[in-house]
Amino acid sequence: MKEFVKGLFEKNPILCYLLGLCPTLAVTTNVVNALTMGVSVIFVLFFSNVIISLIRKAVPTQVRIASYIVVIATFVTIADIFLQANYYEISRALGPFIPLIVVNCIILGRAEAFASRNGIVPSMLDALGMGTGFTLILCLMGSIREILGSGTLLGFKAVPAFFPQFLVMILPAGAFITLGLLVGAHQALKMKYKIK
Amino acid sequence: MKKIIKITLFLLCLCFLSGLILSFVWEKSAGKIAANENRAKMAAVLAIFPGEDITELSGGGEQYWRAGAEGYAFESSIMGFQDEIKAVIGVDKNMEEIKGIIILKCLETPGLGGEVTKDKFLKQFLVKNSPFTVVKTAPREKYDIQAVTGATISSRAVVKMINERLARMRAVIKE
Repeated sequence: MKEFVKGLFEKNPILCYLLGLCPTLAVTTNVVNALTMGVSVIFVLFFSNVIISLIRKAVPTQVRIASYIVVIATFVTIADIFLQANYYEISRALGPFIPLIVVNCIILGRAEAFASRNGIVPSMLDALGMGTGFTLILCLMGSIREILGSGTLLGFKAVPAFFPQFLVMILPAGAFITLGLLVGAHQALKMKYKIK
Repeated sequence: MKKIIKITLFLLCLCFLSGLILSFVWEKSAGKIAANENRAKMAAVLAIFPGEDITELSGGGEQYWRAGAEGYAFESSIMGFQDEIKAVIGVDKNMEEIKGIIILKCLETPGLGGEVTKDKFLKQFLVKNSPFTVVKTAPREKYDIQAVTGATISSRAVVKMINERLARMRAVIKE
């Protein structure tokens, strides 16, 4: 259980390690994109962690990174094909960011730092925790940017008509501002409750 | 020496298994993806010619659409910097003016090559005729297309695709 919970807040991959920032900044212009991205990452992270944990004793150390990448790329391609077949619109909106999960450092990072050293069950929990932590922050950023930038949430009107819309929030600068404030808030909370 | 054989065999097996799984998944979803792409193509043609009657025609080994009496549309693709770029191009009935270009697929680097899918780049083609030339500075001639900064290869690919495709389709449709 410890392995699951740590990814949510204490060792959140985005807020704590600043990993996987490319999708974090790029696809969080609205909640649906953020959620799809998050779920795809959970899927890829979960299965690649399981497989890598299973084969960890057979992998020759010299080519371990290459082997991990093959495993990760396989699952990313499955996710990409699945989205293209069943959620075509979302797949087009996310464009190249789904194939780019291959190089998302959260996944390679967890493979190298955790799955290659631990058994299957802890690796599963680790993947689910880290993936959920990633998805939560993505959705949080997506909500903040969608409400402030477009005045909607999940496509529905979310603010009263007099409320202004800040275009900057759906532009890249808005992503950096939101992320910076979230990282700051995360650190402040940790300091306050003295979590290392 | 023994080590290198072991490593090679391991990677070989891993890649083989990965290929096996992927071809199975692809086999299962190829039909659905093709149907989705077809729907997206029709939507693109309708977006260029709103409210027109779209009929699918073929001639000279090419497929294209006729939009009422307004014009024609056809699909086009070329190898970009990363992967294939696919687009639907609409022209008026005399094939002398480009009515619209909608990029269907583009996996170019977001922020650089990806900018060729944006209006800022594509609107340079509108109400004009091929052949276009790519320039890196502000366009001086009518048919100059200003390349996206940092994405000359993607910009050139799109321009080449439009030039070649228009020339080809002009010959096909005139027949």
